[in-house]
Amino acid sequence: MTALAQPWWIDSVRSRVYRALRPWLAHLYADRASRVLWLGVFSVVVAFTLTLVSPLWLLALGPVLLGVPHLVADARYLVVQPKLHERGALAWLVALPLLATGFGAPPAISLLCLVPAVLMARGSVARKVIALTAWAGLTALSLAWENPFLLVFLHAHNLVALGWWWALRPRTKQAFVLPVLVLACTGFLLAGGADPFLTALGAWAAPGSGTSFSEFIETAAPGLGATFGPRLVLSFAFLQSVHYAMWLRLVPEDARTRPAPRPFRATWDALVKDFGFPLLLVFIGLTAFIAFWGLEDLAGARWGYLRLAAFHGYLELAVGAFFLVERKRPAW
Amino acid sequence: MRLYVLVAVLAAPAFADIIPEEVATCRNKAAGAACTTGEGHAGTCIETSITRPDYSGGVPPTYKAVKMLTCVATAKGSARSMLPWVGLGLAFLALVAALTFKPRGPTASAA
Repeated sequence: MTALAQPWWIDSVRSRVYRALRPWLAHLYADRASRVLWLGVFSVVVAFTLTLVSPLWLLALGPVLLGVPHLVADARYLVVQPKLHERGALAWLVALPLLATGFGAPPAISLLCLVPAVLMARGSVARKVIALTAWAGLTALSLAWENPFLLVFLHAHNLVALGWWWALRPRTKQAFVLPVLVLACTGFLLAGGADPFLTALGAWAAPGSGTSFSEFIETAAPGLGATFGPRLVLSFAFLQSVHYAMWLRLVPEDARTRPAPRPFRATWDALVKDFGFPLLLVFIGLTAFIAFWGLEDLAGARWGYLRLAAFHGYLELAVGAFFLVERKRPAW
Repeated sequence: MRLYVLVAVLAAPAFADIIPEEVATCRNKAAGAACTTGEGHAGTCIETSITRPDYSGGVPPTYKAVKMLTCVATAKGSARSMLPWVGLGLAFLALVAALTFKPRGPTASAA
């Protein structure tokens, strides 16, 4: 007979909080679908509020603090839990173009990771032909207009996380609230609705963050004009935060076999089971390294992280294509 | 074990890339320092004066002249060439095709 692991003290604290709040909040925790929905709405509201109040700090700190954990979630839910790394040569062939991305390969090379994902998926020839046609189209676009392609990819990949979360499980009608809310907030920001709020709150500058709207416009919205450029940067700040919330909060909640929330101790044990303790130590070390680098040079740490993370958008595309060809939900 | 090797392979260029990124730009450098342009040319950090929009007061921005270091290519630099990537890409596609469409051995029923 194996003994159950002792819960941590923080689990006991959380249990007491749950019990105290049960009369008011029990219905919110009652089932997974409603819990995920309100967690999602809460995350979107927080992301939107922070975008209005302090967009530059959000852009500067988000990748430095949450970037590496979200890459770990990417690897966990896209590769490890579906056990794609155990599917023969598939993982290695997908990894090669991603490896080249880290060495400065152009996007046409990075997109090659879709080819083995599509060809090695167990699906109909028709679906593979459609997926390969889409790959060829994206490759042609990236060859013809490399910089505009990268710019669109940078912004659109934030929405891919929303699509991933949506595909995990069958959704109720109420679940439409979340994508509608995200699109409404994005539309509001792109239409300039946030501009007066930022002016009133003095949020156009963030002394100490080591960055400015000019810098983000030059990298994330170059040549789009003095009016639309900052609005696109605001929508990027918001969608990037939603992207992190999806991978770090909603996808884990939906991907778990157990429908109820689990103790922190059990969450840690599941992480150790998925990655192994030494690899987790590496991830924790890397997170701490980027964070401490950020204390020394925030802009430098953000750029360093972005170089590190360049591959993950293509990984999301490749695994998405894989599941589309296999006609399977990426839930397990 | 396979997972460990996979992570190590993907992590290698990531660490390798953090340093060249710093080298590639003129951030935290003095005028005259060596650098690499976005196109892959070897260059030198040169102080230039440009007019830059300032959004700290909101939109529309005000414009002010600022001095900054930019990486200007020198004659000795060599541009990034697509040719090696095209070669690697074609070799990769050939590898994927070979592994995906490899002929199967005779089955028991055929024998």
